[in-house]
This record gives sequence, C-alpha cells and structure tokens, in this order.
Amino acid sequence: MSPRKPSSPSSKSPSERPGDLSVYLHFPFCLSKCPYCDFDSVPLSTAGGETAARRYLDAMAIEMDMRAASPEFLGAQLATVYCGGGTPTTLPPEWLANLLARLRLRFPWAADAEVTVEANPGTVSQAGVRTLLGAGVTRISLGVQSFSDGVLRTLGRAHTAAQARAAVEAIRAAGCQNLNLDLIYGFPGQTEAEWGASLEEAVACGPEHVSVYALSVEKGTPLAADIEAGRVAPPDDDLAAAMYLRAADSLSRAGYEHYEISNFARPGRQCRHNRRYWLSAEYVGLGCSAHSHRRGIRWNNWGGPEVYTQWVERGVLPVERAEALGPRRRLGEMLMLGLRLAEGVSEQELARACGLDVREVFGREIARLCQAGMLLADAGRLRIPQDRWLLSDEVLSQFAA
Amino acid sequence: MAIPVQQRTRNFCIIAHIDHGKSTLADRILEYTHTLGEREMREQVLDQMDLERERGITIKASAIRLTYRAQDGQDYVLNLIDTPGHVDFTYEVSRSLAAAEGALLVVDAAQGVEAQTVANAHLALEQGLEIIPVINKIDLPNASPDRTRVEIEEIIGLEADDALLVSAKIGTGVPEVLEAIVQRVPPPAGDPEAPLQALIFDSHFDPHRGIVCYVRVRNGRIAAGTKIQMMATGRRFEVQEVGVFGLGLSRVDELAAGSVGYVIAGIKEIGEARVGDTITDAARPASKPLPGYRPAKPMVFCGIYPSENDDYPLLRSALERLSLNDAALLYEPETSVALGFGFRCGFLGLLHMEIVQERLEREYGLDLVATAPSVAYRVHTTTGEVVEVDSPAKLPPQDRIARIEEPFVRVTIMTPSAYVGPCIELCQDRRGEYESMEHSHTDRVVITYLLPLSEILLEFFDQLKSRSRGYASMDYEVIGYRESDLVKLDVMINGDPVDALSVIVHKSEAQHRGRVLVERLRKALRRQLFEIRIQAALGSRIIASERIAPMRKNVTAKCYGGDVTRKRKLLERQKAGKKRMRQIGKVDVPQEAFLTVLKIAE
Repeated sequence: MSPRKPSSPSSKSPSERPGDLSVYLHFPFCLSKCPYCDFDSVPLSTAGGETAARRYLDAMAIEMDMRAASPEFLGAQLATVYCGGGTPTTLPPEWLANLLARLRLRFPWAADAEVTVEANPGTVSQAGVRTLLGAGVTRISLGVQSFSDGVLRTLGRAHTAAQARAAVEAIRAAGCQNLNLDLIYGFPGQTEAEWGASLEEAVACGPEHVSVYALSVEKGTPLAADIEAGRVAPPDDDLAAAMYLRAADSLSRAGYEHYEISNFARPGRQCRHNRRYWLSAEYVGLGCSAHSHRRGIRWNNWGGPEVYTQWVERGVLPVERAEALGPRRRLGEMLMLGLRLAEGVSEQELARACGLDVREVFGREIARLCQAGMLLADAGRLRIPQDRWLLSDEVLSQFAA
Repeated sequence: MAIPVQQRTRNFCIIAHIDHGKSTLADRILEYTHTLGEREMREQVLDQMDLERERGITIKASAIRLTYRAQDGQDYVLNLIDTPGHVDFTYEVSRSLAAAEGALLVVDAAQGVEAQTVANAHLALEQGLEIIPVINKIDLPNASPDRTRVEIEEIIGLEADDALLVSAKIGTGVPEVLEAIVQRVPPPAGDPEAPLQALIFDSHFDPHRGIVCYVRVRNGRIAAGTKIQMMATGRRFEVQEVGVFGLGLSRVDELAAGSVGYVIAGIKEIGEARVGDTITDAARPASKPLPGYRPAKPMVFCGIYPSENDDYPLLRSALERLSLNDAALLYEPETSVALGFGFRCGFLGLLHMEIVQERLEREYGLDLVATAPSVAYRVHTTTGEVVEVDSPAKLPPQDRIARIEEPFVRVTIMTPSAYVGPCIELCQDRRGEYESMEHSHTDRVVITYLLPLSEILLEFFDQLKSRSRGYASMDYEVIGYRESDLVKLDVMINGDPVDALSVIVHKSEAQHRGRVLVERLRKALRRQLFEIRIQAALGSRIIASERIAPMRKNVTAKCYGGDVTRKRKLLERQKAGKKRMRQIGKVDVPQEAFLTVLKIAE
C-alpha cells in the first residue's frame, strides 16, 4: 500500500458551499440483470420496454417538479448530479438529456457542477456520449468490472472485454475529460493473476478515477442461492484481501490517490458527488428506491419502477420511509461515513454539525481503537490508517447505535 | 350391612408401559362407577397438568375414591391410586404401590410386554401386591391377546390364563375389571387400634393450606386435632383436617387403618412431608416406621440459564414455585463465564429434567438455555476426602484426585430378535458391560447391560429407537457407584481456560472428545484481529488444538447511492452481535459458540 500521506482536505476541488445540494437520478433499467446485483433494477425488455421507461421518466420529471416547487429547496444550488442505476445508457441519450435540461430549469446550478452518468460497455456510442456532454454531463462512470472475458462471463455481465475497450475509446473520442472505471474483485474462481491483468489494463486506459469493489453476496440474489446450494464457492476473504492490497498497490504506483476505501483518483479528480455522501452532505434522490438526506431527515422512495410511477401519477410524493436523525445518530453516521475517507473526519466539524463532543460520546471507543492502532487521532482529526482499511468495519461498528 | 368398612375397601393401582392405556382405563372405571357426573368427566381426569395430558404420561401421583356396588350386592370403597409412569419416578411408583394391595397391570394387546411393563410389574411384586393382568386395546385390528398372554407369562412370570380382555377405549370388559378388583385384591390388613402408621405416598402444595399429604393409613387412626410426628424428619404438627379424594378433597372425621386419604397439618414446606415418610401419633408413636423410605436423590444435573440475563429473578421464583410441589427438584445458583447467572439443577432422571424445563418455559414464559446433562461423580481425593461433584467446574485439580467413581445403571432393553445386534452394539459403544439376554417364544428378547449413567444421558434412547426402527423399549435402574477411569478435559482459548466448557470424560474417549470440542469451537468462533488458538488439555497435556487465522477483511465496499441507513443497520447488527459475546481473555466468544459445545452431544 502506498506510504503516501493522505491528501489534506483543503486540496479538494471546490469545497462545500452553503446551499450546495446534490441530486441523484435513478434509472432502474438494464440490458440484463447480473446474478450478484440486488439494486433496484430490471432488464428493460421485461420491464415493459421503452414505453414503460418513458412513463417512468415522466414520473421522475413530475417528482422533480414537486420537489422543486417545495419552499424547502429555496436557495439550494446543484453542486453535483449523478445519474445511476441500473444502466442509464440503456435508454436513448436524448431522454437523459431532456431530463437534465428540465433539472436545469427547476434548480439553480453551480457553474462548476459535476454531472456524472453511469454507463455500461455495450450501451455506449461516441454519438450518444456527445449528446450527454452537450446536455451538461461532465463525467462518465463506466462499469467495466473486468478485462477478462472469462470473469465477465462468470459475473453474468452482458459485455465483453473488447466492448469495454471500445467504450473507453468512444467516450474519449466524444471529448469526455473525466472518466471512471468500476472494477469488481473477489469473484468465485477469479485468480490474483487475472485481477492483476485487469488492473493493468484499466490503468492503461488512463481513466481519471478508478473504483474497485469487492464482490459482496447479497441476500436474495441468484448468486447467493448458488452459493447456498453449493453450486458456487463462497468468496474467499483472504484472497479478496490480497486482491484489495494488489489494487491499492498498482493504482498508487500509477499515480492514483487512494482517497476512500474503494476509490482512487488522479489529483483533483475525486468524485465530488460521492464525497458529499461521505461528508454527510445534503442530497435529493429522484426515482424509485432513491435516497435523500436534507435538513436532518433521511428518506427513501418506494422501490420498483411501477410502484414508484403509480404513486407519482396519483400526485403523491413517492416516499416510503423517512427518519429524522437525532444528534447522536447523526454523529454515528458522520463517523461511519467520514472515516471511509483517507482524510478522516474533523472533530470540530462533528461538533458543529451534531452539537456533540465526539470524545464525550465515544471517548472510550476512540481510546481503545487508537491503542489497538485501528484509529489515528491527530491535528483534531480522526482517521483510519490505510493499512487497516480492510478491517474498517471493525472500527465503524464501534460507532453504531 | 354386616361387613365392616375395612373389609369392603380395596386399594389398587394401575401400572403400564407408556401409552398402553392406563389413563383411559382409569377414565372408564370412573365413568362406570358414576364417580363423576358427565359434566365433570374430562378425558384422563387423573392427569391434571396440561403437560401430563399432552404427553400422555403421569408425572404426579394422585388418587380417587370410588364406590362400587358389586355383584354380591355389597357397596365397596375402591381407592384408585394413580402412579407416575416413568422410570425416573421409580421411587415414587414404589411408594404409591406400597399404599395399595393390588395392581392392574395393563398391557397393550398389539404392542405386547414392554420394558416398563416388566419394571413396574417387578416393583409391584416386590411390594407383595396382587397383580391382575389386563390385556387392553383388544379392539385394535393388530391386537394379539394370545401372544400378549404368553409374553406376560414368559417374560414377567405371571400366571395370565385369567388375564382380563379389555378395550378401555370402547368400554369392553370394564365391569369384569371392577369385579376382579373386588374378588382378587385382598382387603387392607392393619389394626385400627394399634399406634398410628400412615405412609405418605405423595403430596402437593396448596397456596392457602400448605402441604396436602396423600396418605395410606396402615395402622391406627388419624383425625383433626391429632398431634403427629414425621418419623424420618422428626418434625411435629397438629392435624387440621383429614379427608378422602372425591373429585377434589372431601373432609371426613377420621381416617382409620386401611384408608387412603389426605392430611392437612399446617406444613409449609414439601421437605417436611417427604414421600415415603411415615406419619405417627406423637403421643403414642409407632415403634418403627414403615419400610422403604429414602430421600429423593437427584441423579442427573444440568445448568439452566435464562436466555436474557434480566430473566434471572423470574427463573429463580419459577424454580421456587415448582419445587414446592416437587421434592426431587434441587437447584442452586451457579455462575458461568459463558452463560451468566443461572442454576445448577438436579433431577431424578432425563424425563424429569425435560418436564421441569418444559414447565419453566411453558408455565412461566421463560426462554432457557440448558447445558448438556451430566451426572454426579464421587471423587476420592488424595487426602482421603470424598466429594460429590455435579459439575466439571467443581472438580478438584487433577493432582488432588485419587480416583473417581460414577453412577452405573442396569439397563433393560426389550426388542424383537431382529434388532438384538444393533442394540448390543449401542451398549458396547457406550462402555456397556453385558449382563444377560433372555429369549421368549414370542420373538421378544430381554437384554440387560450395566452402563455408566452418563452414557445413557445423551441420545441413548433416540439411538435405541432409531437402531431398532422404533421397536425396542428400555428401562433402567441405578445400581450404585463404580470406579471409572475418568479425567477432566479442559478447553483453552489463547491459553485461557474456559471453565464453562470443561467436561468429565472417560480416559479412552478424551482424545476424541477433545478433537470434537476444539473443532466445534473453531467452527463457531468468528475470526478476530489476531490469531486464536483453541486447545483441549488433560491437565497440562494438550491433546487437541486448532487455530483460527486472524481476520483479514471486514469492510463494506460501497455505500450504495446514498443508502446510509442500510449501512448503518449493518454496522448496528455487527455491534449488537459483539455485545452478546463473552470475553475469554481478549477473544470475543459468542453465546452460540458455548451452546454448540454445551448443548449438543456427539
């Protein structure tokens, strides 16, 4: 792992300004459903095709209008926008462009707003990306996952390594200056050598940002069923740990900052949208299953495009659940999220946001963790040393309720 | 009526193997004698507890008085004394039998003679009772009364030509049973004018009146105002009320020799009116008590803990309440590193243990953790002391132990001859010592083995049933202590001994048990930030060990799309899981880990 000192928070491109808000737009459609995926997403073909998708996007536009009309968003300006899914690029790029145009009408935007669209190889063309860039998109996050056709097949991905390379080329040719590649490791049967090769190839593509995610087996997925039935070997934690260290090593060597547990970026290219999650900043999610955090309240929308659409079409906000965070819970959350970042959290910031002294609430836990070398406390900040990130949940769980 | 009451009294029991129809026959007899109105007639009236009715077994003895006009035109008083139907309660059964002159031996015409049939019949013979064989369930399509008759003669050694053929279920043969009781059971002997001797064959606790003693008066008389003395304990009381058993208690002026009834004498604790003790007149005491008394001695022990520590006071008061009615239930507070505060409980046997656990859970709504049952060892120390040890934690250090004895039982197994092999194999596997084998003409084989009691505590009965496809039945009696080559097996986690996991095992099994224990623990423990060593040791000698590599990865890769709540809940679960763990040294050990070791047998 890189011995590099964690980057100081002040080096972040535009820091939090009052009134900053992020918007997340959820596109629950894919070409096909991957066996490990438990996101709110369905293959477009079984979800009723473009007609249903059209209806869903119309509902999102209505929810956007309802939210924008509420006085609670007066004075908010959009610092970041993130179109996730599913695979937003399963739909015609013009539809996304129209939705973004509407968002631009409904909310004031910061001049330097970061606008990310998630895409998967096989759904990306140069012309399509150009349309998106024209609509204000500044960043593409490409779900490559692996550069090995064998692994891609086991993962049940709908694309090939060649398609991934072609997608990167198309995105660059269209003029996108900010590209993220998503990679997955720790899949049953995957070898360290294969992972090393994928990492090398990812670096060779020259993205500004790389996310590496350990495969997690989620309840209710076909993968979980396969493992339960013994058809697929369960993930090997030791191997996954080795792969994680390998990624940290290769990417650091290639000049990427390991700025969050699973994320690497060229200097100045950290994902501002995701950073806002880790900083417990405010965001509004539109679409099914989308999550929001605003003024001390967390809420989430109903899951499933159809259910969501029905609520909105009845003129009702599609909120399934909302929770007001007390100071204690907010403190726990800020630690749980902020400690994922290399820079950690500022004790002063915690006190300002929650009105609680973290040392008073978690003094014993902090002392114990520091003594065990699991936590560092210096210069008014708490952070998890990078060589303990693989065990970060051992630390984070100490701050849970 | 010229004949005196004592001559017109018959005291009898019904004995049977489980499910052979004892309670149903009792019900028919009550019906036939109109002892109970239709409205009062519930199925199996004598089994009062829900648990008894549900399991079809009798746990507590009880009694009822019937009046029957016999064919000779005389009215007879019949006292039916119900007996507990299980080996655990052998002593209670023998006391109930001692209160009677006769017994109906009920045998299922389809099942034939079973292990408890034999055990109960022998108990009745020892008491010198007149036994009337009753072949029941003759209405069943597979009933075979002739074969059953042969079995009664060959296996029990009773004349069975005049065995009664009955279907208690449909009522066939019930009048004949009543006539046989009158004609074949002798009237009670005993002298009403002799000094008082009354046998306590059971008792129960009444919250308003204290202990109600169930007695059989052998000699003399007892009435309200009599100053009495318990001959075993020496305690004295003044009788407040005597009476007989209708459906409930009905007061009478006096109980004289030959009577069965109850005595209330302001007795507060069940220990002061022990089953088997003799009541005498304090002013004119009998020269000696009735024979056969011995205090209840628990043979099987286990730790009982509340799943939630907060329930400890509730568990304590529940045990107090149960023991009001159950002199054989012993309990004392115990603290376990693994399980917190609980009680070490002693029981007569496995069924008794199960029943107590079930009543605690059902009647008191407790959620319990029970450790694997064990026996009381008798340890001779190097300094010549003898210590009774009912929990491995109480065992003296290995170097102070001269020798250890453990309780042995004689197990009687009855099985069709086809399953003799598997039954013998099971006994051999459990350190059994062959004693005898008898064949009968009906394909029934009686096998007796001497076995350490500890070996039949865990899954012996289940194994017997499965190896014989359900056909074998068993019974056992404790025959005393014998020296065994026993050792204490300790478990250590990172060098720290875990007292709660120590077990006493036979030396020949130590290696195997040690390996199983550490292997189980290895599977039950979660990886931690450092390496964990799990070892099984005999004294200072390590006989098995396992290691768990340090945890390398516990990280959530991604917080999906701002779904913070989900992540938070995940971490909360991790934290809650840790809270429930006990620390052995630095190692977090989940309660489940203790349980997998403590609860399950091999």
